[in-house]
Amino acid sequence: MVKILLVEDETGVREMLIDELKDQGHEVIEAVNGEDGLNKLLASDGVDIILCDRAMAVMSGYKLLEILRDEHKQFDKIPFVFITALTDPRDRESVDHLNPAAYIDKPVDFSILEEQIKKLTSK
Amino acid sequence: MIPDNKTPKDPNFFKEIVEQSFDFFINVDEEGNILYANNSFLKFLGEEEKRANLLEFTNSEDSKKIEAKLKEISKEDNIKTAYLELRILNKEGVLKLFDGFIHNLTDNEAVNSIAMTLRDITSKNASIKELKEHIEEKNNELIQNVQKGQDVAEQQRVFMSMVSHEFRTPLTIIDGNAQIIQNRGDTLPKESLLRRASTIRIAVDRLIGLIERILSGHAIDQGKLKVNLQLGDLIPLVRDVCFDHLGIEPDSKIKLNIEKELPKIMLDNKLIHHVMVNLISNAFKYSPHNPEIEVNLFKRNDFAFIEVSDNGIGVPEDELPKIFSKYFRASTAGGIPGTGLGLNLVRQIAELHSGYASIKSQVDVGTTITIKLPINQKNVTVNGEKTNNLETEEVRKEDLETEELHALEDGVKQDG
Repeated sequence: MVKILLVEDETGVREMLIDELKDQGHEVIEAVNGEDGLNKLLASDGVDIILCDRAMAVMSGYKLLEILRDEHKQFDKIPFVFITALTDPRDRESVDHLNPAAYIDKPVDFSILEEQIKKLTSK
Repeated sequence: MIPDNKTPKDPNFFKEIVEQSFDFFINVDEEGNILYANNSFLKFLGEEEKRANLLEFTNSEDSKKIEAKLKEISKEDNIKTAYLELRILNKEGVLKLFDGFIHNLTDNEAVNSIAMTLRDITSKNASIKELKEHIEEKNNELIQNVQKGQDVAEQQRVFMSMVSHEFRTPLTIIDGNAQIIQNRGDTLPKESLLRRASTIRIAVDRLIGLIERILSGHAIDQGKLKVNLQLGDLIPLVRDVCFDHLGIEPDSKIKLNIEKELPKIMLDNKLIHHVMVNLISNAFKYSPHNPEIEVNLFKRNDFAFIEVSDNGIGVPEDELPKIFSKYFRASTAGGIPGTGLGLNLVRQIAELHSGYASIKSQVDVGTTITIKLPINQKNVTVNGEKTNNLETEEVRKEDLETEELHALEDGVKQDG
């Protein structure tokens, strides 16, 4: 079982992903935006992977990753995966310097999602 | 054919050519003392001229330049010819620009001096200067146009990226639920299957709405949107849109205030539906901390008013005039996805109804968008100033019936 922080502001997408991730046998902490995600992460006793949307109100996924990289280096080892509908190559390039572990395009192919989680969390 | 290069018989032949020339022919010694000057030069200086040295006719800068050139071509073994550009004061005291060649002919017994031929290039130079300025101006224009082109290209890229994002989000919901049903549909309880089917249908509606808004926006731009005005009731239309939204975002709350005696108005049902979807989804999208909005529906004078208010991030005051412009997005919108099409479409649709859309907003307090639609189309000027000049009327809450709308348990919308 993998402990996942899922950050997604769109209710329909978040609920569906939670259903799927739980069905794949994982534990999910859900957050509704970047700020909520940061708070949940800090309150948790750690997670194995972070799955995060990009375009979100209050705090975007980009901002969340930037804050983690700048101010919370203790989380650098947690793989950070963008799950996003921003699929334009230039949108992707714009986060390269923050070194996300993976970039999964929406709509999400659940087998790819499962594969990535497995790959990124196997020690 | 040019005849043989023989000396003409008349000894005045060359003298006449030199004297009648528009160019200056001047002979000087190595110090610049004038030994001979042709008519043109003398005319240029005027009859009263007493000075005898070329260096005195120009400014100190050019005078030094001539002195140096004279020295240079007078040195033994050096080149004997040089190009020269200099300014000379004419009889009116105006500096004119000349260019030409000086040629050391001191070794030549017949001439025994330094010969100069000079031509007035003042106007030519002015033209060149003008031309240079013109080129520079055009060049700047070109740079600006390229910049504008780059800005438009970037705006379009961001827009396309956002359109793609807006499509992919409901597609994610559709595809995700379809995968769940495909992978484990046989083990899912019936109500879960029904819920997923309903979720998929809501996402499909969202996609259709998106396509229709893009197409309507395009049709309006092309001046080809047909407005189909019919007597219609705003109340069920607005209520439907509210419930549709609550179906997507169950945590949302809408306070709907409706005037009891709101008459039917002439409207294009589909287009006003677009307007409402846009205003309601915007109100929630831009109030992430406070998903409670208020919708007022009332009548003042000859107009029906739709007001949608949120307690959201707001729009900075200096950006308010641009908020209805195509592709414009407020700086406060930050990471919130959006195409910048919505409010532009809202205003254009309101105007196609001979109505108007306006905004009031304060950063971190909230935004109110007001749509004003004429109750009787005959009384207003189409797209005219008459409608636009009317101020938004303050709503009197005591005249309105309030409904608090929440998402319904089964997620199915209530009949209006």
